[in-house]
Amino acid sequence: MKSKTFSGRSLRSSLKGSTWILVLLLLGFMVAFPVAELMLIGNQTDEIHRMTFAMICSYLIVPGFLVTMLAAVVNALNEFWYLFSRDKIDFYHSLPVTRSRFFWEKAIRGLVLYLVPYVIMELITMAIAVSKGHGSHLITAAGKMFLEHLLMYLLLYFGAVLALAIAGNILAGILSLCCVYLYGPVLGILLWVLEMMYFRTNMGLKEGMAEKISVFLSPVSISVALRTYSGQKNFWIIIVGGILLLIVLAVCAYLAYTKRPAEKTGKSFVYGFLEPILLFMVVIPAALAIGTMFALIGPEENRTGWWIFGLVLGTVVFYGILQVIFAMDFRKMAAHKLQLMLLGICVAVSAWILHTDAIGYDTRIPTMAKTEGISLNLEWIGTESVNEPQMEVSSGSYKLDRLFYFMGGNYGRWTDAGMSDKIYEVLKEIASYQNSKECSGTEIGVQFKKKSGFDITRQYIVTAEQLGRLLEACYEQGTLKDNKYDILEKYRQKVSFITVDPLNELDDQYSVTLEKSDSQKLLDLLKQDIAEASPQELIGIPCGQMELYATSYADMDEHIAPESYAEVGRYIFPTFKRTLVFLKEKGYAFVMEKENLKQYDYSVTYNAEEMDVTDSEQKEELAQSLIRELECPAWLETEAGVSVKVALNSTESAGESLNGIEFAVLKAKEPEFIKKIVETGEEEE
Amino acid sequence: MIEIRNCSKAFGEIHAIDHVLMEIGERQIFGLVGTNGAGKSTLLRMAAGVIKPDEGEILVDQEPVYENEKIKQQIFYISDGGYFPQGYTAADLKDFYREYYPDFMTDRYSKLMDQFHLDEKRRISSYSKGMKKQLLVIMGISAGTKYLLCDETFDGLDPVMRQAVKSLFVSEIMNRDFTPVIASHNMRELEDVCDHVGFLHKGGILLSRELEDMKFHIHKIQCVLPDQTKEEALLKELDVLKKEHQGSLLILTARGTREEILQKVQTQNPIFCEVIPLTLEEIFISETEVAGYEVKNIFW
Repeated sequence: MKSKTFSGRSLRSSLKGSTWILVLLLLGFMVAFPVAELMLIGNQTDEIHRMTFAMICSYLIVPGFLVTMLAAVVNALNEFWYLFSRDKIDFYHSLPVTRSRFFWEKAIRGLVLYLVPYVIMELITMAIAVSKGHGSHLITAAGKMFLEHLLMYLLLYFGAVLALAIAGNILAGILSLCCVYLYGPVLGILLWVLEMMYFRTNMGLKEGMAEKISVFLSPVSISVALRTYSGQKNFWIIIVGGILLLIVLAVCAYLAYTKRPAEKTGKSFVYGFLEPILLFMVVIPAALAIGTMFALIGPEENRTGWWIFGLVLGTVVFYGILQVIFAMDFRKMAAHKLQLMLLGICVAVSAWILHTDAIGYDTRIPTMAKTEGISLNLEWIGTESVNEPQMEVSSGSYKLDRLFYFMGGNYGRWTDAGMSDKIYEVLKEIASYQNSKECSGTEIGVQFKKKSGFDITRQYIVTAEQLGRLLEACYEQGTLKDNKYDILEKYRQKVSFITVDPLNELDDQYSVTLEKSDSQKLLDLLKQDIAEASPQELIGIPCGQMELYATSYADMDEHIAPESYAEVGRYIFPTFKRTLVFLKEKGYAFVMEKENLKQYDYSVTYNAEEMDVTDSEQKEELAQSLIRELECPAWLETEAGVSVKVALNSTESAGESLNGIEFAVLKAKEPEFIKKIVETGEEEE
Repeated sequence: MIEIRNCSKAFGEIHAIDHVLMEIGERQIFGLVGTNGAGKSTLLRMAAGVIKPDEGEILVDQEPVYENEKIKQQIFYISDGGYFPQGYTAADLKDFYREYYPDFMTDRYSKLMDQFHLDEKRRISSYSKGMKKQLLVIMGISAGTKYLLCDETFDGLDPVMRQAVKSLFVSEIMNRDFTPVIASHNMRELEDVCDHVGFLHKGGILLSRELEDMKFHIHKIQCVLPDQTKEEALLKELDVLKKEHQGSLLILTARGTREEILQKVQTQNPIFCEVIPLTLEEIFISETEVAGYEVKNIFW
């Protein structure tokens, strides 16, 4: 009997009525594979001419996934839709077959309906590739694509079967299918938004729990992740996660089907214990979302009130909706009041956790054992910025990624900084500083590169001293130094010109531009100086800043647009002897001439009060402590609230404020009279 | 033999089947009758292995039926709804059942299809309600199973077809090990078909007996007695299920054989006396009235 049920004849007999699926999938895969392939390689550019079959497959996998998804849903519905009809259940379940075998019989039948058109169309695709000369690594690429799609199909199929097996009627079936497919991604997005709203250190990236929930908690998103994470370090985790999810879904679907009480057909969910679970799974996140929405749209002066109102409203409304769905009766809207109470408590606790960061989101960092290294975003700590054109492949050709500039270059440039005990200790201290009341300073981006490949990114506020210690630890470790300055070497050949500006020179006109050959010479010398520079020297007071321009480096790659350019800024420190000597030879000095200082007028502003400095000694002292406000690196501590304006030969009439360049006062070199001004001001406050 | 051992099944707060204890013997036509919602379909669905009892067990030939492939090969269940897969012809359905019932008799199927004038190449969806019922009976008989469970199958069959099906059942019983179980609330349909009848009421079994035996042991008495004391004495003598007066005519429904009842009535010197056998419907009404299921209890 067993062998007979699984026999080809049995299969043929039971496939009656499913021919339309076969035809539908044949058409679907024909469009997804051979037609899409012909459209792709019909465009005879050089790029496409060089494509291997593996590259073609990378384009075909997406339409293939869409048809696979269609196949999984259609097959699951075709085989298990009967569960919503008592008459059909009586018909099928009275047959002399155990539910267990019925389940696998249906799964195999669905798989056959999927595989037959798939294999036929994939073979045609391979034949076309061979005929057009794109056939290298044919079998490997086709096999890989097949296995990926097969895993996707099984995930989506068993997910759909699980959804149908737990539901008792069509409405609940559709809802549970949406739940199985979309709960993970929706919850992940919600968590991501909540993290952005409630945790200050969040950088707006979907990472950590939000990312994992999004990827691993849904057969759809893990199928998509099989593509998006392809080639990444953590791809194997996605594969393992996909296989584990497949096992979980298959086992759950099997149990839900074989243990399904047939008499519960017509109710919303055939397993009563699922209802409270679903209630908590849906109501808590929904209430938090509604609460946050109300907090955002509510008036600023009573934001907390609106937030609480939204939380309560979200809890009650979603609780009511679900109770109505469960009971299929509007009168049951307020049934199970104990559950409502428990939900209220859970929502309140979750809201409190978000509000107070009870989970330590802002102050916790990944353990060192799990961290491979860190990357730093140093874009905001001074003017050492980097602008590079980013390339993207689109329709088989490279294009300048405009979005890169629009988005601020993927939230700025990240520089690998390695990891050491010292770096980790400083980061721990920085993280614990985040929720302290006195937390203020400069923002830096820190990306913890986890061994798992699922990185964690935070935006920390750091004091100048903490930043200095962090950079020192990173320079000591070495990775940051290598990565930060390697970019100069990258553009050495393509440099167009370099400009150098002094950071303590009082005259803003005083800058130098070096032509290509001098620029290259400067880069050679700079390289030597950087190699010899100690970590302490690299976090010292810079005396100048260079800006490298590598314009039009299109010849590096024929596909790069001609208007592409790169711009790299780097500080020059007083210990860069070779560099400074070279610049001096070019008529450029970083040391201010004392006799010139008297030619300038100085105006100190503190607490909106402006005062002129007239004493020549004070002028000299002050001039030594100045650094241009805008270019001042954040690791240098400056006197907060004190701003100095400097202008050559005051031309303003008495009583008018000085119109000059703005400087900050370095605390390390702060003149006594400035200290007194600040102290007096503080005492008065 | 189908043994229903202390079976219970509840749907939420409704006890569809409540500790039913019953046996269905072999090679007889068993009629399962009951009031609306008495649990006939639930009992058959449990016997067919579609649903599982909450309590107790159902044994078919000494083996539990639920999830038992071997035993279910001996049971063919015709449900009340009578579902057919989309687009199937009778021939498709035959092929379908052949895969599941190893003893399926293709020759018998062809012969019966001819006898009932059913076109096996026509889509079942184009059949009339009665034709669909006939087809299901043909499939049930051709499946070669030992037990055929029919839920309201005779509903929709004309008297001629009903008689034809009855003859079919009888001939099957004569020729092989075959036991049809027919659930219905239509007593008239069952009366001329069944050998044995089980009364189901409010989830419990009221009575299960051979139909002839049942009719042998319950009678209607119409008599006129000389005075009230005689009537009271007669009522004490008899196992009365129902009592009614039409002027001086006393109408009683009582348990007992015709002879026993006549003897007891004669002792009261009746002016007029007549003992009439009951129809199945009357027996059912009497028994259910005893169990509190009366028209007056429903409306008043």
